[in-house]
Amino acid sequence: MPAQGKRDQIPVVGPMLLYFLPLPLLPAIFIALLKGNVVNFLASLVALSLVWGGAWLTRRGIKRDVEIQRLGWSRLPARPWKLLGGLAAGVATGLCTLLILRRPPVMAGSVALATLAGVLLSYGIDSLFYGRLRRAPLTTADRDVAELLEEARLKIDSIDRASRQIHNPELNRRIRRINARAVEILATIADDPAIVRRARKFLKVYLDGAQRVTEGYARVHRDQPSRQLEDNFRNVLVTIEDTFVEQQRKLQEKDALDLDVQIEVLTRQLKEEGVI
Amino acid sequence: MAKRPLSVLILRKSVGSLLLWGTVGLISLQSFFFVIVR
Repeated sequence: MPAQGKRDQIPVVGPMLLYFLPLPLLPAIFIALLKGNVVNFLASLVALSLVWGGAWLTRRGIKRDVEIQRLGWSRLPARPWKLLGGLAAGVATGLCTLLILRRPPVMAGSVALATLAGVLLSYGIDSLFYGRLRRAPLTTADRDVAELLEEARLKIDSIDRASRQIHNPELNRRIRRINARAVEILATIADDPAIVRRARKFLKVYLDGAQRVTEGYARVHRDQPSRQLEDNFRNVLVTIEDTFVEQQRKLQEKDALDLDVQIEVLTRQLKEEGVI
Repeated sequence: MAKRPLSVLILRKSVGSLLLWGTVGLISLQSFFFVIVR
């Protein structure tokens, strides 16, 4: 089963304060309009748009952080989202102070800076410095490679979700290691898209296999737990992990040795274990 | 990302929220009243 195209599986709590604190500006827009006060109307309209726009930007920054923590990388490009969000909100409060409250520019500037500080302190500074994650795979110029990597990332995400339904610390650890290996392999491909041809079958067969076996086990062991099933699952996980390590080594060595042979072996084992 | 003590995190978020309430919240509310009055 291919990874479902549900891109927003990971729940993210948005910057709620930035959504509801500027709400008084909403009636202000209509009141200024009714009164025919153009400056107040435009200032409150632009300010509200900027704060909500800033909230949207900040939410992207938060989402990126959450994805990186959970999956090891993010499909969102590395941009200073929260900084941009804070700046937008800062410009908004500065604008209101200057044009609606008619305070001096120095005060407007101070208010803007305080807002920026508020956003960065509340939601954190953008994590742009996660080493290899800066080279986000989706920045690759090759659209096909980007799609393949995105699909693979969604499969890793599914494996991660299924793993959380398996309440066995030892198996969870194994799955986490497999996912970490998979992320490393994806990062290697992103670094050198030319090797994707060699890794294509790996991405399709291995990750599919790992996803199916994990989801299948999570489902079955909940309904009818069995020692034999757990042992089979563990064996498959060991094989998958070993092969992932080997794949990563060969990809890094740029060793064109026939990877397909290994994949055939794993596929056969997955079939024998009744996984695919 | 290096793990920081929970107390530092709570303090940071509290100061941040306070600044947001004091700027975005207060300025919006004041703007609302100013728009009504003027």
